[in-house]
Amino acid sequence: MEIRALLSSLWRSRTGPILVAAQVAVTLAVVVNVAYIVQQRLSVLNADTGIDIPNIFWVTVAAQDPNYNFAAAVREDLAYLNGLPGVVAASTSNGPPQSWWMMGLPFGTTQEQLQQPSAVPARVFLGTEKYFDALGLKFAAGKPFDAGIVAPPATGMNETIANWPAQVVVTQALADKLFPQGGALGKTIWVGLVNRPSTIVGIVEHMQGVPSMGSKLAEMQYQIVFAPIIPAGPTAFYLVRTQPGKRDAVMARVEKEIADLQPGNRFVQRIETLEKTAAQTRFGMRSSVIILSIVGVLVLAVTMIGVAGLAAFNVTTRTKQLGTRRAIGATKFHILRYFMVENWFITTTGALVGCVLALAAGVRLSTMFQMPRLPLYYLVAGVIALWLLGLLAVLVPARRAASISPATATRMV
Amino acid sequence: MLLHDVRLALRSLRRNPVLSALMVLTIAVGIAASMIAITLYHARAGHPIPWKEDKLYAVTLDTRDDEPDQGYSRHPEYPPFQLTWRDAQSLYESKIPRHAAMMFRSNRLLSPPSRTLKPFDVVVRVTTADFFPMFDVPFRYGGGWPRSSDSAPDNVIVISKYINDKVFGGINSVGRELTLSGKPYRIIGVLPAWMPQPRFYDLNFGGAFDIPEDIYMPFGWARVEPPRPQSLSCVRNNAKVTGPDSIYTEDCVWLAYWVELDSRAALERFQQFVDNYTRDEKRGGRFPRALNNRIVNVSTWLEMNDVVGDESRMQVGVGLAFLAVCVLNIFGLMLAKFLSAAPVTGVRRALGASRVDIVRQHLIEVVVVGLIGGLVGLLLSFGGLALLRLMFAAGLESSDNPARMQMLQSLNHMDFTMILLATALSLATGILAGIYPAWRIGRLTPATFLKTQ
Amino acid sequence: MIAMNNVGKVFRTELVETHALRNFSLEVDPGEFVAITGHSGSGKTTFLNVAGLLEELDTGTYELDGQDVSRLTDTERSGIRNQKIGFIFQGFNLIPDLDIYDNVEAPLHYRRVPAAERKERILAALDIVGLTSRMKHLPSQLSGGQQQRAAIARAIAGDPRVILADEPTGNLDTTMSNQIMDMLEQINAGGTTILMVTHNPELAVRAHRQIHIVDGHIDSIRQSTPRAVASASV
Repeated sequence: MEIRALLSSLWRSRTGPILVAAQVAVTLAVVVNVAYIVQQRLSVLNADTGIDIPNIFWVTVAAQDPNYNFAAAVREDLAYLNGLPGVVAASTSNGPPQSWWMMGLPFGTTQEQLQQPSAVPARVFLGTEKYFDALGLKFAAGKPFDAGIVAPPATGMNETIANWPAQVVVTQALADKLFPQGGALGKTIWVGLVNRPSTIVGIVEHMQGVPSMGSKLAEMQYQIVFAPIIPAGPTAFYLVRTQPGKRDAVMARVEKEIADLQPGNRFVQRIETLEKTAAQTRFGMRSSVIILSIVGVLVLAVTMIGVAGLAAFNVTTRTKQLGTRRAIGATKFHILRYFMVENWFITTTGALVGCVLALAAGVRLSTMFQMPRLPLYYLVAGVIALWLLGLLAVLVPARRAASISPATATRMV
Repeated sequence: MLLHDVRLALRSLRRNPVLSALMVLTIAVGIAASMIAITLYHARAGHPIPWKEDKLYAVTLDTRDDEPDQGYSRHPEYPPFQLTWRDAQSLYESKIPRHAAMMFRSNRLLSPPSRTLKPFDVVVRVTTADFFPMFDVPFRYGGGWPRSSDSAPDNVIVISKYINDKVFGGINSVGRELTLSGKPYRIIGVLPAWMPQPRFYDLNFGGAFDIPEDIYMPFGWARVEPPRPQSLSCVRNNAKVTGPDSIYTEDCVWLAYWVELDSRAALERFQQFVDNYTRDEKRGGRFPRALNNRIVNVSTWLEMNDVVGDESRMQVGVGLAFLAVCVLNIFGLMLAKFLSAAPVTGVRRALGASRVDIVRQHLIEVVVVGLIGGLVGLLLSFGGLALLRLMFAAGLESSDNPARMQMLQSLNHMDFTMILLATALSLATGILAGIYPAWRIGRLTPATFLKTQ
Repeated sequence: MIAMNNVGKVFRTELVETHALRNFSLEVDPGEFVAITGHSGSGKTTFLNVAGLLEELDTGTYELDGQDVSRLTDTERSGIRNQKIGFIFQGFNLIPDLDIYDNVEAPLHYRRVPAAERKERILAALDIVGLTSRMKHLPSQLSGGQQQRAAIARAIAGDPRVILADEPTGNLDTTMSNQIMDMLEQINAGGTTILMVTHNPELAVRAHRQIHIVDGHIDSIRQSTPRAVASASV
């Protein structure tokens, strides 16, 4: 077909095509980057946490009696919770996983490493030997701490840390970081600030503390140390995992019973499913995914309107010319093809410019959100998507053009 | 003449209802997207206490170890945002500031006097007395405490409106007693709904857009019931936390520190004082880094803490890019529309319309589309923001402090400035999209189109 | 009324120069009715465009109503078109989205005539062409003859010195054509100068003078005898 004629005709009335191309360019830059951010966030939102979130709830029990025997109450509460029908396991802890709350300490393979930049920061979760069952974590190697090593609660966080135990469990991610050569099980690691060594007795396959975008701090969400410690009182925190389907029933029973089981004028301060906690920490990210997706779709829709609008205008102004073409033998297909190819050229020009814009915006965004660079296949996908949408948008006016009667040519308008 | 042009524009728009509706909708969506993003940005970028911009200063000391940066902070040049316990105590000795406050956040269990109310957790700010006059905290009833209460425990507290409403039904509760974690306290002041946005004086917990604390307690209590951090963070990684007191000696307890300085000269004197203190401490082996003590006003402080946030900036960027797409779209559609109506324009030229008449008439048509689009866009942004509010509300706990809801609501509320901005934006959209098509159609020679009809 | 002296108009493209008007000189007296004839491509439309100040002339001088209009700015020419010239086109060229009343009003708007006077003039013009009852109709709702009458009303509402008519009856049947011609003669009788381009010799002889254009210059001028005028109107 007459590509040269088509191009020179495009060039002669270039303002409209340039505008559509510019629109396609900005659209590509916006849509590709928005899609990338959305995809990144979705992958974080849907990442495997290693935790059996749907079957877990947590409860905090506070006491008003100044002479409350916290240590005894915790012992009895744990026995009660673990003995309830439908409960898989229950443990104390220092806060719900999947919440923003976090405790962190530096770790090293030697005492000297603690003072060096190579010290590895990790999140610290405290629990009893049942903690791993209470979250449904899987062991890659070793086992939970010994039951006997879990000391009774201390009176404050600093005392708790000062009494740091001799056994810890770590995640595979932390083990790999500290011991790149492998064989972490049974090795000793040093705990920063308390300056004490602990032996790794178990390695948890995978756990993610809280969903978070690729900043360096996010690595900490996978680098976790579990220590056999019951946190200081007087408010107790329990994580309870139930058999599938029994969570709500067990939760209702615990809420009703647990406070009065022990003396100390106790009450349930808060009881919540881990599902809800996790949903709340994901709330901001999830809503931004929704909003960005809507914006992306709208931008595409607006651009399709622009493409269709220009094509429709061209059809109107070229009615006579198109009729003449038909009169001298062009088939409907030829006319359709003419508009399709014309549109394809405009879209492609715009998309190529858009790729440059997208990359520029992508560089800025990747430093902003500490994401990896925009992968090039996003650009390819974006260009293809705009081709398809452009052709779709031009289809209606092009079909109208194809249906122009050859008799138009001889008619005085 | 202007009125006549507006009438012509409306008539021309009515002639192509589908096209006009598409154009109005396009602009509306573009305006709405950018206005929602800008509104959220505007709320985050606000100054909570502008009248004290050259008086209030946050104090930071670079206590850090002489270790290379590990890439956790985007601005490794900034000192830590809080002072260690002992540095705060030392600076508090200075008489240069008119006011000074060291403070931290803590939790207590509140046991209400009435049996019908369950005990609940409250957030407490333990602070020195100057907190109230320095931050211009208003009082509904009563007032703050004397400085003497900061050196030894004194059982007095100031409570927020929320606590006063919840526990005392909103009456003047000054003089009443309240039990916090088993200890009785006497209420000496009640605040009205006080909600600086962002909560600049402490950006650490719950983010910059959380509500202020429920209870305020004299710093004297910090000396007998010291801060009990839930997590440890010490100046040096090789600190040795071995007992209850070691977290102080090992610099693991942090306080926020603010001063009010009367003049530029006072600021210089105070900076001098702080630097001299640091130099003295260097001799004892602390402060291994080069002098880097930053005493910054509220604007700089908010900037250092990146209160606005990249998310917000990205939203504005996406919103404006969207608007740009819409402008290009209207630009193209208008050009096409004008050119296809060129014969009519030719007639008008023949009838004596000058170029200016034609350009003005067409420009006004685009501006009318822009303004109608802007109006619809404004409605859309109200709707969008209302939806966002609903979304945020759904994310809140039912048991949560009602003040938190109020805070979230005000964060995505359009004020008058935003409405003005929306108008200006839609006007600019119209002019930007219309100036070339109008000029182009004005340039057509009148004779060209007369014969072809 | 119109005095053109050695007027030239050249259209240039990259390849060719077309001399649409060459050494074109013509004088038209006030109150005269002149018919311009010629084959298509002869330059008669260019002549009309130049005479109507729709296009600039390249060489020569042009005096309209005693005023030299050879070298004016676009805005000045717009003003003169608006004040002194009324156009009637073959394709009527009514503005499709304005009703008849508004169409007649359009030129008055550009002249900034006060509203009351505007209304008076519009009604008077519509009365002359007999369209008072149709003034709220859109052009598309009228027949061709009615549309052309509306166009005439629009041309005379501004009380122009000259009316330029480009094939005013080209799209109309004979009855309608005669009606329009009667109307033009009636306007002419009121003292308005009329220049009419046509290729219909029967209509041309109804003018006082017929000017035949060939290749951009005047080939012949024929004065109509009163008898010819009379016989044509029978």
